[in-house]
Amino acid sequence: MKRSYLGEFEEIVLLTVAVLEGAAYGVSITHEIIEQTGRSVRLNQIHSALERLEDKGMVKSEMGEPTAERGGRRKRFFTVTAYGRRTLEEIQEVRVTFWSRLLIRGMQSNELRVMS
Amino acid sequence: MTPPRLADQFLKFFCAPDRLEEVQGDLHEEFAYQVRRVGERRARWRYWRDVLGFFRPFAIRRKPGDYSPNPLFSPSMIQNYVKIAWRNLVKNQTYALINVTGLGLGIGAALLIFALVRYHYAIDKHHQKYDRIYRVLTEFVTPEGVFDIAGVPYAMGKALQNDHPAIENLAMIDIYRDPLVAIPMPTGPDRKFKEAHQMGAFVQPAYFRIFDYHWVVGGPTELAQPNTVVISAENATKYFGTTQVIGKVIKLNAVMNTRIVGVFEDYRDNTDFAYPIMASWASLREFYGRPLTEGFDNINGDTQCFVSLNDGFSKADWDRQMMAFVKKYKPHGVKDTRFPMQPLRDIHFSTDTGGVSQGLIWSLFAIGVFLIITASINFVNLATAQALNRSREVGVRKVLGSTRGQLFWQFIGETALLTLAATALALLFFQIGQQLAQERLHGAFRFTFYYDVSVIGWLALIVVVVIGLSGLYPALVLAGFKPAMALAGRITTRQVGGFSVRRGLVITQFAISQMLIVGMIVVASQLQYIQTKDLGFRQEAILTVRLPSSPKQDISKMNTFRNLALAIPEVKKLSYSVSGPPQSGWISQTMIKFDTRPEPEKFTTQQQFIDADYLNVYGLKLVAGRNLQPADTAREVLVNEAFVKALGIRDPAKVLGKLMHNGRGLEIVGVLKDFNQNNLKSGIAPLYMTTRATSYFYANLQLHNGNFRRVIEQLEKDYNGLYPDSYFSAQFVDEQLQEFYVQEQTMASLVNFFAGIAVIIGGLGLYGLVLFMAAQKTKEIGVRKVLGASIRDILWLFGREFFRLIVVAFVIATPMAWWVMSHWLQDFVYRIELDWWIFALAMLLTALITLLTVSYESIKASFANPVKSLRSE
Repeated sequence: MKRSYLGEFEEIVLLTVAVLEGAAYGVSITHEIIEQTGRSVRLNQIHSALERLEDKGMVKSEMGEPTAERGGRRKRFFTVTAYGRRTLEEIQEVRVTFWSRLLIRGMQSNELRVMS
Repeated sequence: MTPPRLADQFLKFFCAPDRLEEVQGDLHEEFAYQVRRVGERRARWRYWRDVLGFFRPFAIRRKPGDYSPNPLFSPSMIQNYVKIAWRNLVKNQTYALINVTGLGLGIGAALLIFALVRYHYAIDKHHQKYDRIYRVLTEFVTPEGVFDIAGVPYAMGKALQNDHPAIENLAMIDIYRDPLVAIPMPTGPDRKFKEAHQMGAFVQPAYFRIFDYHWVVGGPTELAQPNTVVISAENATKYFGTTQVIGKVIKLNAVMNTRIVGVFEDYRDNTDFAYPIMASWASLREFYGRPLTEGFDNINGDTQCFVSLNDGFSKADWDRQMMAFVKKYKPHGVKDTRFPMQPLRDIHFSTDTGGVSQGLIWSLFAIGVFLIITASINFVNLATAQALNRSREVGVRKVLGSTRGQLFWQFIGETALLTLAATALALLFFQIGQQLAQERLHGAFRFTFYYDVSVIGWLALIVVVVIGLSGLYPALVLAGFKPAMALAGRITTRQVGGFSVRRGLVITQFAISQMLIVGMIVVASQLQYIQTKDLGFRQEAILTVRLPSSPKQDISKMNTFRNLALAIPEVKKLSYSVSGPPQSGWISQTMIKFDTRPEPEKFTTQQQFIDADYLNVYGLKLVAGRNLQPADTAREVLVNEAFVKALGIRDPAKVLGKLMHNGRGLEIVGVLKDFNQNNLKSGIAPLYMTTRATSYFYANLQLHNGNFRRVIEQLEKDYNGLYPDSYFSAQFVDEQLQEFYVQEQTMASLVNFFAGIAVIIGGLGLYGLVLFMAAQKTKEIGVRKVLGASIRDILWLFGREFFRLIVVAFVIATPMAWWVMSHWLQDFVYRIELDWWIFALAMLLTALITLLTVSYESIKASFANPVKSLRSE
């Protein structure tokens, strides 16, 4: 089955949505990414990435309750779909496979260990 | 703590509505957070940056909804409209072709007419003093009516300046045709330029204070001196290859050397007064070889007087003052001579003084309107005829939720689409027509078309009017169908406003065509009439040769020339005179005393100097007495009937043997039957003729048929041998007479041309209608044939309808055409009668055109095999 590929930034956003477990919306995702990665991320980038992810079917969204802090405006909460979760897992599997091969070879060769 | 208001508004403006809430919420939350973190000022900056960050397609793009906010302009509907419109065009190619061609012709012709009308009304408008410039005319009151002559006596300028010091500027101008320019060469013969179609002039410097001229080099200041000239840049370049020609010498008409003192920019704007070579008024004396005639009795249409007046002047003032003026300078003309002023804006339109008839220009304009109406009627007719075929479409659309308004605009849009296609075609026609006009009309008008805003504006107006006229009715009918009836296919011709409306339109079209045809016949026959009207003298095969200008003609040389000319076999007779009957605009008048009456007569008499052969050459008839005896000096006189009448004498024989005093007494020996001594535009005035050889200025040669070109060449050779210091100039009398009517002729042919197009467009529409009728009646014809109808019966099925309409149209058109045309004819002193045959002929022609357009399709339909037409179900 052919899958849509994820860009690096999209992958991080998707992971963040997964980590936040139901509390993921524009601002919270932005702050979480800034805290965890130290990258300077802007709101519009997050929105744009979320839009793409939703198009690809990896996240879904629904509007929450009105909140006083936003002048009565609702938040749009994002959750990862099953398809999104499986994509994350597959990416992880591929990486693990590569890393494990890298680690085995590294134990065999000193040079490589020095370099890594 | 609120985020920047402007940024918020901007966000609201561009952000998709369904996304705005969450985005704005996030932004506000972030803003509150940033205020706590970095302070308000920096947070505001950041807010701005973030808002601008959302100015991206993903946030702007609207989600495609089920309902577009504006159903009329939703892209998918427009796509659908265009598709349906295109399919309809392809399905009914013939109708589309008829419509587009008709509309294209109509719009193109209307646009051309607009440009022409605009040309006539914009003439000379570019002069700054346009509203204050006048030409002084000479007006003669004769029993036939009042006639204007553009010219005034030479003495007018000085006299006016004396008596009317209030006149701001006054300039006399003397015009002559076809100047001959020679450039003296240091070695060898002069280089000669015969400027056919150009006009030369002699002017006073004030002329350039009245009219606007722009100077390349030099100027009019030195033009007060004799033997100076100013020329146009084009002519300067033609003669010398440069415009820097101050001080160079050119020789005018082989008689007078002039020094160039100024070069002016070419005539770009449309003007009636284009004189590329203008010498000083002070040179006239040398040019004509004699002093200018004194007094107020000699009037020449080419010697004109222009003035620019201050705002204080009124026409009434002028006319009152001029009465005293006439009394002072021309006491015998108090009753029959006036010097009115003619505003510059009227000059182009006064037919008496060589202008264009305003009536013809307005008829052109009316034809333009008719063109648009006819083309639009075609469209309406064909569109309503086809409406039936589209009733199902309308039904389906309505059931699916189309509103009346939507359908209305859909059909208007289709009309607009066709009209735009037609406009493209129209621009092509316009381009072609314009080029033709430039080439064909150049002799009659100096002609420049402008591509300016007004033409574009007019085009836009025409297009909108056409869309409205032709789209409105069909769109209303189609949009008004009841869906249930439409879907059931129960809409009949009756409901498409059907036949009665369509009949009305066809009748209108027929009426327009008949009126136009009447107009064409009347204009053509009127012009034919004035051009071929018996002027009372012979016009065919008479050549006039000009003698050199000199105060006294050399009689022995004239005799030599007569002998040389008569030696040419084609020359039948030769007569000398001061001018020919058409007078070339020259009128010489005098005051006379009759018999023993003590007081001078209170009318002006024209005088002509002729020899004894004159009557023979021009075929003039005597009503009493005999011809003049051959003589070189004045002894006896001939007078015309008008002269006798002006004396108050009934019987022409009674004046015979009496003396007519003009300085000295001359015996009246004969009375001539009246003839038009000038032209039809200036009536018949009292005239006397006598011999005076030294004043002759023309040789009138009556020719046998033969090689005229050879005769002219031989005459030129003889003339140049005899008069080496002069130059040869010859013209046929009938051609000279034609020149009086060039503008009328041109306008009339334009009227005919455009009226013809209107009739063609009408025929085109008729053809389309018959096509449609034949298609509709296929079954009916089949059934009729099966039941035994003959081909003649079937043909009558088509013919009956149309001929009834023609008759109704005739009843409407005839009184209107009669009214319009009798008004038009009022402008002419000599005019034709509006006979019944003109109208009958118009109806006959309409019937004939109808027959031609209708017959082919109806014959085809009537011959169709009923088996075929009835089988297809």
